[in-house]
Amino acid sequence: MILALLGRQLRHMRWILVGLGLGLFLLEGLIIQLAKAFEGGPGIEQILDMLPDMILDLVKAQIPAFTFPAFAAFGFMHPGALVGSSAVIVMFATAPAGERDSGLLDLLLSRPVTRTKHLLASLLGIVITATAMPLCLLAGCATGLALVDVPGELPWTAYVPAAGLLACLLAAVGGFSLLVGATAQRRGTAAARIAAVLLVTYVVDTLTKVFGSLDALRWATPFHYFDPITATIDEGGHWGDAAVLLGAAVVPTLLAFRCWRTRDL
Amino acid sequence: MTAPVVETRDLSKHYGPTVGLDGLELVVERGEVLGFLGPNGAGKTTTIRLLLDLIRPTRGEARLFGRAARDPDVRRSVGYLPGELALDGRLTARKMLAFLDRLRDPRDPPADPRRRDALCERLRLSDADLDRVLRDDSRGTKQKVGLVAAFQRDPELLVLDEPTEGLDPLVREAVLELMREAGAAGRTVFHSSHVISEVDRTATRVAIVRAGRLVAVEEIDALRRSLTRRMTVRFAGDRAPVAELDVPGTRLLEQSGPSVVLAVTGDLDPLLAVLARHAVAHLAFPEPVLDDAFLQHYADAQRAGADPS
Repeated sequence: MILALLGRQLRHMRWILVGLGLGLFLLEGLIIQLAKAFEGGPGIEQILDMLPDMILDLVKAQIPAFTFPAFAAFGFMHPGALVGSSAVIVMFATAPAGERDSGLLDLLLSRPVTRTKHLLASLLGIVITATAMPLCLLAGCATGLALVDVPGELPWTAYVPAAGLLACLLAAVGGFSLLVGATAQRRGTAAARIAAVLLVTYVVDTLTKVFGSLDALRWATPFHYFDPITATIDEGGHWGDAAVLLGAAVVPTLLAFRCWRTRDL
Repeated sequence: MTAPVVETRDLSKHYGPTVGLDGLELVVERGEVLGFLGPNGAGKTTTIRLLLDLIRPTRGEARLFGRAARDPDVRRSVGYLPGELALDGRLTARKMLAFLDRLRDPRDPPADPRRRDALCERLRLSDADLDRVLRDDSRGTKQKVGLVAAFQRDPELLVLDEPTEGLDPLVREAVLELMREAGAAGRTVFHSSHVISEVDRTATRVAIVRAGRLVAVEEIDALRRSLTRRMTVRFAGDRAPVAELDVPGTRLLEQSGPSVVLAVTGDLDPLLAVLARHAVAHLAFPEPVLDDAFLQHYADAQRAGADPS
């Protein structure tokens, strides 16, 4: 029953999932090639020296260390990767709201399908996306590293924590999206709310890195707990962040199930 | 003794200050075809959505097969056609039907493909219709797919909300026939409609709702018998024997020479005895239809609602 519900969603999303996965694989491979070019060329430091201070602060907020492993790990936090993966997760998370919107939900839930199982299908879609997209990046990383030869490069396994942290972040996005989707009247409204919150928290995170005076706001954004570069370079320093992100995934997910079970549909 | 197929006790649903349904007490036994009548907004769809646990009651409870409507197991034996049918437009009709069938309980066997094919044939769903994506289908074709989905598992209880909406007359006939057959085969049909003539042809009993309240529940025949009917009589002579027509259950509405129009309620014998004593040139006494009952009950309920006592 759950497989039938999940299968229908995956069938509708298959080309988006395949396209995004392939895109992330190529993106990470390309970033590694660029990182090698910087490593062998005049050096990124010289390029950065030409940037205005404000822009330089923003770049440093995203990439704290200008080394080959840091650049290679940047793919795991590339805005394109984050936006693409989050968009697919939001599509899965708001699918029940969409079915409610269209009226299809009445037909589905008139079968012996519990509301929990119905929402579980969306949750499984989120889990698949949150797992598969970091794996695609990791595969691109492993392939890219196999094609370049840079002194001091790390093995591809060193990027597993970065991929894991990305999976945790996407899970947190998924949990929040599922909660918004389960409480919304309309899918469009839910998606807009989720996008607005993600955008605001991302901007807040970036600003807190640039402006020390905003430091107190850091804890409130999930992106604060997401630093794949540090997770790659500093071994063992990412478990706490992963735990916070997983907590941010589990709590809203549980609330989403509670809400979906009790509300009028 | 087996539990009723549908049973509601004080079932109520309020949306803030708006009353969707108020204190519905209804029992539908196995094998019944119940016509659930009322105009738009009367509470028909709210009742159905409460029965299927899509919305939760403000007060009271709904039970199917003797179990709480919240129990998903009860829906193993339910076939449902929503009033505002929505299907996945990206699937073909064939895939949609297969998908809906896969949402059965793992303990239940899949729908019989021969039954599905027979239903498609009776509802005039061609292979071309079945293999076209649903977003390209007409309203009528989608309705037929919804009907096949509801009937394909031969469920114990069919909940059909405006089942003939958007169908051509031939297919409409086929749907009414399917409902009658289901009732004859011991299935229970909950037929919600505002098309009274259709309910008249399928139901064994009708429930009439108005403004969220149950106005009447009666056997169709009893309902017909209780109706005030109009009889037009033209006597053979110059004048009608008006004085003799003052018998129990009969009221004179109009008179013009030898012709009279009478309102007749209940037992016809006293009136027929009078008519038998006179030469009658013409008599018209049309069969009562449910529309009359509906309008009569509705008018009564409206008067009662307007009366502050």
